[in-house]
Parts: sequence; structure tokens; C-alpha cells
Amino acid sequence: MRHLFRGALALLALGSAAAAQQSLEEKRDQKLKSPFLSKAAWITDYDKAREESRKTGRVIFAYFTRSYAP
Amino acid sequence: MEGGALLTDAFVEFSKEYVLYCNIMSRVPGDKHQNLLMEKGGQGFPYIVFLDAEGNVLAKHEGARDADGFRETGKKVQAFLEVRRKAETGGAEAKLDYLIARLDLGHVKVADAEREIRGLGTPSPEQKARLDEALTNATVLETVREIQSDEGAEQAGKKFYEMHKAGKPAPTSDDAVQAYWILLMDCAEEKKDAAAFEAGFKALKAKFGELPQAQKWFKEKEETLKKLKESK
Repeated sequence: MRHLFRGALALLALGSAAAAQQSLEEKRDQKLKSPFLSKAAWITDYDKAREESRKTGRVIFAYFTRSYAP
Repeated sequence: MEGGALLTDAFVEFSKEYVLYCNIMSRVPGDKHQNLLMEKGGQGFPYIVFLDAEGNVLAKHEGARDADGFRETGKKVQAFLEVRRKAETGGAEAKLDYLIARLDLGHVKVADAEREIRGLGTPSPEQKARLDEALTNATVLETVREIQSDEGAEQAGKKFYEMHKAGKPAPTSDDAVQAYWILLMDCAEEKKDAAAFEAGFKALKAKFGELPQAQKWFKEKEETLKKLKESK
């Protein structure tokens, strides 16, 4: 019985971790749809931004934000 | 900012001169460049820096978070890049200009700058004046960045007070001026030094006296100054 209970707890923990994970991904995807990102020519890939800077000779304007919290 | 300044046409216009990069810290395992904020010197959000193609920080944006503010920092970045270009092929004079620009942007510690200066020969009087100004601003900002506690703030105030009493020039950059005089005034009040307190009061009044949000602070300090003078 005790084993079953522990197993249930472990499953619950795994389930909640998966839910949190999904939530973080959803929040990130939601952030990527923010209107400001489509208003100007934002690049969200750092390597691509540096490549673009190399090609064009333009300086990078880097804006740091987060999606996991408001 | 995302719902305001970054949505404006003025920002879009400003952005045409730059490569816009948005780093989203997601905490999603596997997402790339999740530590970039810290690597580039950021400690909180939002954080804005100008980078070159190699990812070197050219300037941290500390001014107004709107198109005009970004443009101002952008101008400093362009000036810095120009000086850097000249230093790559120029002599000691160009290299000293580059050092001054690095000091202004916080790219070099004062102690390291002083070591570099020794290897660059004798500066012209004009360069010497600019160098001294840059060193003063950088010294103040370095001191302020190291403050971790009330005791640290007190120590910084004492240091600025001693600089002032030794006749050293006050800083001139906006961010250094405020911290320098406010901390110095706290120390001057503690030491009941009305003259030093008044010097700070006048310097800040000249620079920020028109700000509506600063009126209460100036009123309080005016009272303190009056008491300091009376207790002489």
C-alpha cells in the first residue's frame, strides 16, 4: 500500500512538472506573438542577429525580456 | 514598454539603423541563449544593450526607454565606433581618445585605464582635461556600482566628500552627478559641513531643480541647509 502511495506521489510530481513545462512553453510561444515583435523587424535568434549585423555592418539593438513571468 | 514605446512609429523609424534582437528568457529547457542577459551584464528586466557583430557590449542603455532615448545612446555608440576605428590605425593620441571613450561607456576599470595611460605618453592639455573628466565620472560610477548596503553608501559618501574637500573636480555625466552629490551631502550633513552640503545642493538644484518630482526633496534639503548654517 505504501509503495502504491509513493508511486502515486511520484506520478503526481511528474505530472505537475510536465504541466509546468508546458506552461512555460506556452508562455514563451505567447510572448513570441506579442504585437511589438511584428511591428518592427525583430530577430529572436541571437546567432541570426549577429550574422545580420556582420552582413549589414549595423549595430545590434538587443532587448532582453522574459516570458515566464509578467 | 512592449505595449508602448516599442509599438510606436518613432521606434520603427529608429530601428531601421539597427539590427533588432529580442532575447526572451523562457526557462524552457533547451531554449538557446538563456544566460545571455547575465553574460551581457544584465541583472533584471527590461534590459537594453547595443552590441557589435561579435556580441561585445558597446553600450548599456540607461536613459529614457523610448525612441529619443535609444537614439541618444545610439549616437554615443556611433561616436565610440568611430573613435575605435581611428585607434586601430592611429597613434597615441587616437588611442587615448579611444581610452576616454571606453571610460565614458564603462568598458574599462579606472585602475586598468590608469595603467594604459602610462603607456600612451603625454596627452595634450585638451586631452588631459577630457581624460580627467572621464576618470572622475568613471571613478564615481564604479564606486556607486560597488555599493551593496547602507554602510557601503556611507563609505561612498565619505569618499566623495574627501574628493570634494581635496579640491578634486566633481563629475559631469548625468548619472554620476546625482549619486556623487546626494551621497556627499549625506556625509556633509553628518559632519555638519554646511559649505560642502550647500555645494551639493546648488549643483543638484542647477541640474534637476526644475523637475516637479524633485521639489519635495529640495525643500527638505533647503531646511537641512538652513539648520546646518544656524548651528555653526
